[in-house]
Amino acid sequence: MRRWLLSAILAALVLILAPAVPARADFLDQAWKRGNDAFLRGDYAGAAAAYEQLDRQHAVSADLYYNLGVTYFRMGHLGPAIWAFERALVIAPDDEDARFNLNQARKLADQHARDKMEGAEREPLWTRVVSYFGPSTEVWLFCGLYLGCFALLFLRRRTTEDSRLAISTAAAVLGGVALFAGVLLLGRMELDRIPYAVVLPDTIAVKEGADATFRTSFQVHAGLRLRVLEREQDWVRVRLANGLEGFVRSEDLGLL
Amino acid sequence: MGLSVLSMLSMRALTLFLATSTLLFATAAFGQGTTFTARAGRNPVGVGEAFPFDINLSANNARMENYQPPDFRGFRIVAQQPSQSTQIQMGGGGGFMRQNYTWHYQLVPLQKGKLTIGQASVRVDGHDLKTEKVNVTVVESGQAPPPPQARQPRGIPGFPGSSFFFPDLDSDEPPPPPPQPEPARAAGRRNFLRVAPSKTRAFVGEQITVEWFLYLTERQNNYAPTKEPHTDGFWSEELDVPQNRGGLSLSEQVLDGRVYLSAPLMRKAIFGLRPGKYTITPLEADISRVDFFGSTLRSEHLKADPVTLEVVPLPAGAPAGFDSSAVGKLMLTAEVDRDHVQVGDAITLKLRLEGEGNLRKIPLPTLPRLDGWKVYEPKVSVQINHADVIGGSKVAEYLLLPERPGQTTLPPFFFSYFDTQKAAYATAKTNPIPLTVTGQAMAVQSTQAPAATATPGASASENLLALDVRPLRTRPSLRRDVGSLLYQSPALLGVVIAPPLLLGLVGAVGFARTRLGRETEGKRLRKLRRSANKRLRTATSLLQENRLAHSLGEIERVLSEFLTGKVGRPVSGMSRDELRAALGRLGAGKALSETTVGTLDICDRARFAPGDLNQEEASRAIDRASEILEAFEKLPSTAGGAA
Repeated sequence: MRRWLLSAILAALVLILAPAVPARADFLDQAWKRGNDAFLRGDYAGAAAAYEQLDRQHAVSADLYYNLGVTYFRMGHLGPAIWAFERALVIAPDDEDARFNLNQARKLADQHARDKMEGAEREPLWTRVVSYFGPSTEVWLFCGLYLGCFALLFLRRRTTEDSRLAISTAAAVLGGVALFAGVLLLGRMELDRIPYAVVLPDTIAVKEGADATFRTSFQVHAGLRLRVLEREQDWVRVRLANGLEGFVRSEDLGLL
Repeated sequence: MGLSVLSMLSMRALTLFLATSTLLFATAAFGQGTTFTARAGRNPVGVGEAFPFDINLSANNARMENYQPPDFRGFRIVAQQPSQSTQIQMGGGGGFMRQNYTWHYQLVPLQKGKLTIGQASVRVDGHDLKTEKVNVTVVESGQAPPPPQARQPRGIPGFPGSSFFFPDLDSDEPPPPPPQPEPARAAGRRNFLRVAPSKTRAFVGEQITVEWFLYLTERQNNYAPTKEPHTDGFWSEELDVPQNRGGLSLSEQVLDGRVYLSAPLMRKAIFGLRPGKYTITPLEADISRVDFFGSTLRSEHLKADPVTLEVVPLPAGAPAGFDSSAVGKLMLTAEVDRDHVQVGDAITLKLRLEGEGNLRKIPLPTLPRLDGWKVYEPKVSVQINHADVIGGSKVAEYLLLPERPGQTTLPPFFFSYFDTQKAAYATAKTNPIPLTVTGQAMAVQSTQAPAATATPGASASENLLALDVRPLRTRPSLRRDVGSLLYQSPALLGVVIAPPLLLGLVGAVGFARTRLGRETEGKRLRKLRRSANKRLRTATSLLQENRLAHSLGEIERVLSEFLTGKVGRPVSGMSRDELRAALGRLGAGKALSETTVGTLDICDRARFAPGDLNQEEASRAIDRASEILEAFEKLPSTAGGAA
């Protein structure tokens, strides 16, 4: 009876989810192909539009942002190109091509204008630790260990007294490592609470307040990484690596 | 600018129209007496489809009072709005004032059949007036003919009454196609997708704009396209779609008497590549409503209709060198950055084609071979405007390197195209460009260099590789990062919460089962009592059937079971003294013990000498047994641990 019920639930889940997932995948693949085709025939604007559509559909993919970065680069939009490569690296930190292209885009952007920051502090250790792996790796690591730990705990209920100690020990080890992975994940979530962003236009004036009429504090240029502290309607308060703060229009930033 | 002139003209025309209408109406109206009428805006009408119903009172200098609406049985009133207008005319004979009262109703029939809207009544200058009853035929939803003119506050092409479907073609062009059947839609349906092509027949290379709209009966939280339309047989370009901050730009639209929230979803400019009939496959999408926590309450899969378009060949008589994609309204220009250069210095020639048409596909004229010049492969760039009509510019940038001094003239470039507005072939031509080269001749022989990667400004022997990025990834399908998706999804919280919750639940269920499985004292006594009551009832019914021995046998079993339960060990094997002692330990008084033993003795007698008993004695034994049970129930049990 119980087995029959489980089978029925699984079958229902498959029936509910199966048509939806391929349909969405089909749509995303179509847009992806459209973007690639447009790029290959030199229609960079068309390619960017297709990739941006995927971005709006929340298609999380390092390949997507990589291609979007290459497209922006070809269009001469260095700020958006840097943002896209940075985004690809957030998803897949070990993507060598994205890192290479990011460096190339930064080099080219530096030829136009470079933001040299005095007193810029190195990112704290915990930030570097939690962003050492990509979110994907951290999630899989945590989920695998966490679920494994609980699977052992369930198993422990079913086994004899003799094997309980061994299973308990294994569960404790898995639980301990899962805890570490969970801390990493929590650290990343904390990091995302004050997200990074990249300057998109060639130059933007950072204002002292959330309005265009306020005095300009300083200027920053395409590709600069900064942190977004808070949002005030169409403006955001940003902080540079050296602690300088000011307000910029939210549309001038690409969130990572 | 043009729009404002049009608006002014429209305003004037409207004012004139209104003034004329008012005058005519007033003239006619003053000749009339009091009228009180009722009229349905549509008849027949489908079940659930809204239609207007107006009641109008028109009277001269009259006092209206006590308006009673009609009986709208069988209809639901979704909106009502009274309005009043007064017309005054001054003349030699004095002033006339005519008042018009209108009560507008928006009704929805609730059932099929012939329904009657009752009479409305009103008192005008002391006279009671009534409208005629109005019969309305209500048919199945979707079977009623559409209203003669659908209200269209904001224009969307492809609506009934719009000519956007079939624009006029000149007489020498292919005749307009027969009207394509309207796709099934709206009436009787809830949410739906609609496709609207700007035309269903076009020349090869001519733009057709196809738009997809979403119609909603109520606001939804999520919209996700699941299948894009395929435009096989066409060159396709995306057009801009108005959006509100990344979301859909919803606005109210009335279609077939129903109010919808409508939003443009997708616009494509498509250009036929070859003559023939081609079908654009449907756009498919999912819409859903979610609750406060983001869980889907209701979702729906929508599918637009497919649309078949006909591509007809271009007329005969194309000029030599004409490319079939060169259709539109185009202009060609050629310019050089300078016309005097030194040998070895490069000249940039820009050949620009601009206007409306499928510029990405239209080929530019090629530069003929120039003696004494090294010509690099052109760098071609296309700037496309994705507004309503695809257009923009296509520029070929040639780098020309003179190798010897002298005078050269760049010959004119010719470009033939089919002008869709004039429906005729045309040829654009640039002016010849004279160039002067000074200095010493170079040693290098003039060749047509295939230096596609050469950077302008680099010398002929140098291949400078500029700062560039690694190439595009062209996997056949998009590789998604499920882990990152999970990281951003609320499902991660589920993954975290579910296992401990499940473990706790399993533990709780196990604990509950253990607890429920254990027999408590109260539970045991309740069980005993239930069993005893059952046996007493059986004994009573046996007594009524005059089966005395059986009846008292039941009584004995009742007492034995109950007392065994109380004492904690079987009482049937005990001697009477042992039983008395056991009952005494339970706290039973001597009288109760003796009554119990006495009743059991009577039961024994019934077993061994059934002839000795009479009905009255058996009945007393049952009553006593009941009293004994009640008495023992009040005593604490010693069987708790022993049971």
